[in-house]
Amino acid sequence: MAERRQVIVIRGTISETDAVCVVASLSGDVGATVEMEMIYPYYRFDANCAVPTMAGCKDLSMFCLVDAVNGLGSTADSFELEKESVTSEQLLGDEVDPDDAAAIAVRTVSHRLGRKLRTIRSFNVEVQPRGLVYKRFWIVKTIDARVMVDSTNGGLHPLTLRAA
Amino acid sequence: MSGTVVLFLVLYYVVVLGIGYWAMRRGGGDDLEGFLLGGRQVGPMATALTLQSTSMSGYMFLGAGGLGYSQGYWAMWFAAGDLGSGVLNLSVLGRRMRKLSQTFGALTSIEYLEKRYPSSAIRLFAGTLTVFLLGFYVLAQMIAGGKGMALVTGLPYPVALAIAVSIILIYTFMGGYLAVAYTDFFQSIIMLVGVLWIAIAVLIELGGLTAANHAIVEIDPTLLSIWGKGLGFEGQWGVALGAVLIFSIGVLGWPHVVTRHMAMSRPATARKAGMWAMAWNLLFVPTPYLVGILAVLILPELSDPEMAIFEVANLLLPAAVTGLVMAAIMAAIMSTADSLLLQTGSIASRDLYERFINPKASERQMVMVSRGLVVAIAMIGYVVALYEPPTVFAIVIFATSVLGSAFLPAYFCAVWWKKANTAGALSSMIVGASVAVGWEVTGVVEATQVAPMTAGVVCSIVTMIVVSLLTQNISPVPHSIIDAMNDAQAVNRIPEALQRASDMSLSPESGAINRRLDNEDQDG
Repeated sequence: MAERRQVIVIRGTISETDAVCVVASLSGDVGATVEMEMIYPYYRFDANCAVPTMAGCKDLSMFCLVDAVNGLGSTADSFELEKESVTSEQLLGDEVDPDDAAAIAVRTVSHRLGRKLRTIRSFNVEVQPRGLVYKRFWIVKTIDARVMVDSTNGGLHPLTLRAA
Repeated sequence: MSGTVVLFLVLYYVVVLGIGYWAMRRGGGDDLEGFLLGGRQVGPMATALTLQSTSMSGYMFLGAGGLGYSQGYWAMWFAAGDLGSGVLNLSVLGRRMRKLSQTFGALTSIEYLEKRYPSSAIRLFAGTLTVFLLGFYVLAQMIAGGKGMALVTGLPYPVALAIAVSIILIYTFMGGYLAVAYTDFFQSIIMLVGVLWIAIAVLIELGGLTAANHAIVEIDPTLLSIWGKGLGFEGQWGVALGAVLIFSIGVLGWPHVVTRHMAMSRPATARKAGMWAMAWNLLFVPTPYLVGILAVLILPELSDPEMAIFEVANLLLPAAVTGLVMAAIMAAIMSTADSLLLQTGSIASRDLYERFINPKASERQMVMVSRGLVVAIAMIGYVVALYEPPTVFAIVIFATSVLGSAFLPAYFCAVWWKKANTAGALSSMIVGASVAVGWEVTGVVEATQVAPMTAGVVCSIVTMIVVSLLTQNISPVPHSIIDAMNDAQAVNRIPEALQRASDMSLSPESGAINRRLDNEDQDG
């Protein structure tokens, strides 16, 4: 019996059926099926900063997610969260230290804002750690490939053929 | 120099800066990946042309012309190597390196090496060597820019050099890979038009290629041989091989060029980009060498052979066309300079400063270090170029020989040989660089008649193979890397529609999920 855990998951908009339909239409394999779901960890941060621009100082806040396995950061639009019970087989473990993740979040946010708003000088970014959140990926198997589908936006990526 | 020529030059800079600004606003710098790799969204044609214009430019208008002028058809050995460089580079490295670099989450070509051969020593050595050699390479572009600007504007060399360096700096500060790629794209088209225009004018002036060759026989028949003026390189197959290698497979080891693979919109982009690169090369590559060779007939008493193409254009073309050609030449030089400065700044700040000196560096510190280094390199380059300018040809050949010797096996084996490990890669880099520098400095070339590039590449390949095989037990390649290589190798068998629809930003997540699924498959 697999151990179960309560985790906070980003609410998805792409259902299991949607994922299968997308992959089946692209691969031409009507026999495509969802093989499993993987629950992927991210560190979530709330970021606040006062950004100096040509038009004065702008107070901004945004979300930042840091991939808890690979340590890559990205800013995010708002999302809804929900508690779910998942099995340990579905769950990927976090491998990045929370302090390192916070530093990555600061760098990600300041770089994104600095480039996007063409700031005239550097600025401080404060990030509030909000713990781990998880995202669901549907793993869809076709005759040729295994494909992961992001449950939040439908983005997909083929997996290795050895795994397929 | 006429005002029309200067006007064209100024107009050209305005257009190029406008393209750069447009590309920046298009979103090339929204995040770190966007700034350093254009968000990995560069298409096949732009990939091909930025790769070609970055790997050639300033050298092609000064060094290539000068070599053709002083050595005759022997110079075509270098053109032979250059002809297939783009398609070779994209075919051998392109698709797999694109896929692997994203799986590893690498944003610079040196970071990619460290992720493939996990060791901080790899990044320290490769980063330091690259910054040093690219600094040299930038110097060559500055000298080329200064000489060109002096001729175009009639200003004294120090003033022209200062203007050229300032423009390069401003352009680089605009920053961002996407801006660089799209300006390179535009510039490479202008370069092609410009150099073909000069070549056609020269051939018309001389009554065609056959008549020109007959005329060269009257001056010095050895200029028509494949062994150089006075048959100075007769029988030196090692030197000839080195000349071919340096711009063919040598390009595979240039960090600032292989970065182009990492920025492609998808792995399959490499194939189409290879075709564009080949088409462009066939038209462009032999032409500056040929113009240099034929310039002997038009300007037999030229004091500085590296000015052959400039002087010929100045002499034969009407002012408006000369302006266009001069602008193309200057822009070609600067397109390489901005790529080199961007790479040097990126590697110095991300691969050396952040990785080894200040891992907790803030964004502000990173930017300051990067820009400070760009300015420092430019200033040092200015002083050296002003007081003791070596020939552009000598610098480019030295820097590219050492880069190719040090990194070619490391980049090649990173995607093609699963047994290539950290010990093998580090040893091959050290041996390759040392042999290439030693060969050049000690003058072994004359004694052995083997070019530094040939010696360096052979030694680094042998070292990579021997050391990797001997150290498999103590330095095994991690399973996650072998998995990633299998993934990169297998990408073609996935249905094309799925590949096209793939969201490449999910590659890091897919790598982690792959490892997990593979472990589960192995366990049962």
